[in-house]
Amino acid sequence: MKRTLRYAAKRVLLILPQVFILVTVVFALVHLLPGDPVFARMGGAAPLELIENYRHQLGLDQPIYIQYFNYLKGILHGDLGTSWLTGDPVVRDLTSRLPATLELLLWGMGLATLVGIGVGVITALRPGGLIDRVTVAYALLAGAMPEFYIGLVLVFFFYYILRIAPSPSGRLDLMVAPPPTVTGLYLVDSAVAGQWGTFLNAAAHLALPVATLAFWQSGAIMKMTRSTMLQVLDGDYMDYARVMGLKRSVVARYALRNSLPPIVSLTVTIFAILLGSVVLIERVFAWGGLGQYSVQAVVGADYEAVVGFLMLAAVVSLLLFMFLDIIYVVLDPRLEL
Amino acid sequence: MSTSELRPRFRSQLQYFTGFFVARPLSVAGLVIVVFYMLLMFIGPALAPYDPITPTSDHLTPPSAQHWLGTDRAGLDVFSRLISAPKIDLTIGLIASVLGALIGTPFGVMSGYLRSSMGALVARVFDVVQCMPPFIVAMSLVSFSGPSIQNVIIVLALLQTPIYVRLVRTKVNSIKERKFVEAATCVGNSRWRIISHHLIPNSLEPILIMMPVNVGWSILMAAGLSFVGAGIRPPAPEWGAMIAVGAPLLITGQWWVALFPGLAIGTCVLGLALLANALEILLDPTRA
Repeated sequence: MKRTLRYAAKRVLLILPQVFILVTVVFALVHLLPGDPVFARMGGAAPLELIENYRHQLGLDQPIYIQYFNYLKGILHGDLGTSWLTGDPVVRDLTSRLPATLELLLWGMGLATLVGIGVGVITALRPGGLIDRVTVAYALLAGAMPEFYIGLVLVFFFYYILRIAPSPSGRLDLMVAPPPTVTGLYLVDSAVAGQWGTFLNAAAHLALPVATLAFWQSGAIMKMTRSTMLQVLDGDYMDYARVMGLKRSVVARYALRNSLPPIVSLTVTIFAILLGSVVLIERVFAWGGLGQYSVQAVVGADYEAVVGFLMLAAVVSLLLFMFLDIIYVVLDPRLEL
Repeated sequence: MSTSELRPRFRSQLQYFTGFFVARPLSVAGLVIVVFYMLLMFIGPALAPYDPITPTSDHLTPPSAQHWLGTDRAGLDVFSRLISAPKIDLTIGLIASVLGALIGTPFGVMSGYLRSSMGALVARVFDVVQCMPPFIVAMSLVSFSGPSIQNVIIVLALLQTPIYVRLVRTKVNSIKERKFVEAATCVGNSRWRIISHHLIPNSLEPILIMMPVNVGWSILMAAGLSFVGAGIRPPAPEWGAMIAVGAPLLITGQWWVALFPGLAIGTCVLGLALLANALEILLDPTRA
């Protein structure tokens, strides 16, 4: 336990130089790439004085090391600039939209993991069976499609043809008011407030985007679970367990426990991938979260917002991988620290 | 045992290849799909019945004898655009992957064999870059530098470079202690010669296996970028842009504009994945 904590502490401390490199890399990318935000926003026909004024306002007329210093200073104070499109501080824009995206991600990831590990275990216990072959084909096909396409097809099928899904226009129907904010997650908040009508409405709107995310990536988790468990089930200690007379379900449970490290590793990696995919899914379903915000920022030359979102996503990603490193050591005690 | 029993089963390399594919229908499918799309890359626009970027007078018509896959709101023929798109999509995928490998390999060698401190620092930076969600990075970079094919290719190549750096570094680390490298050093080969004659050729195998997967990934990324408006914009024929145009139509029932490009992307990426599987076994039969 103690050495795990020591490793965890070391790993957490490693985040600081990583974030510093990240912040610097983002700054370098923004400033080294061609493209002038001033021209993009004012157009080429604006009078020179206005352009120079705006450039001075944005601080872009200063030497690059001063800009870098100001940028670092801003970040340390929690200031990511002001959004060009909304006029609000970027930090406020991001935090107000975070719960929407978080709700989508958590349910999507949860469903993908549940289905992926569940089906993966079943196929590992019955290799070569019908379920096995179907899931291999499914995993191949689902991963090859773009996730936004899967979302669109689901909308077409369940909304247009079958008419059982709500229209892809956000987290709630237009007429339904959001529940009082506790966490920002509509399912949680409406349940806490006892507003079951709102709860059902939010769940209905969540169904398709969550299904899209889960459908897209659960195949990869299935494949990893299946192959890892097959390897584990092949081991000598598993034979010993069976010979000792342990029930099949117990043996399967032991096998799953021993298969966890690569499965968890893949799951966290997929979560990081979903951080990017949620942008596309939010665009399809008009979700109003961070993803849609970033798309509007990209198309509308709102560079402060783009950079802010990029940094948020990158930091979350770094934290995820840090978490994975620590969890991996907990799951596999054989690892040398 | 007589020598005739010890004779190898395949009389030629060609027999080996055909024997390989005969037993594996999936690999055949992968090869056929990839060859098909690469052919379209070159002759697609020539085969199109209508000009992919010139509107016809038939707006939003469903699939018919005249327009095999229908037309979109602007009157553009979906089929013509569908088969003209590989020229852009596959070009982006191939160039981005090759570029990524070309940039990544030297860095991989540097940090794996030469152990230079610059190589280590660059590897750290690449590690951090690889931690960032790739689509968001791609979207941001293209937004800063402007939506064009060149920018999309460069951005996707940059995002793939860390993969190749890691690949080459791992491979170089595993072979640099081997006896043949030691022997080559002993007889006086310069480090440069060892790199170019031993390390890089042996690294080609994992690179070759990775490449089709990365081309598929690039196509998916490019489609996503076009879908959000940060990539190839219409009227250029690109599968993602076609899906973007067709998305609002899909919700109101005009399914043909968005459905077919998605299927095209899916089959193309699938073919590349199957090809990568086949290459993996072909290049190292012990891995079957």
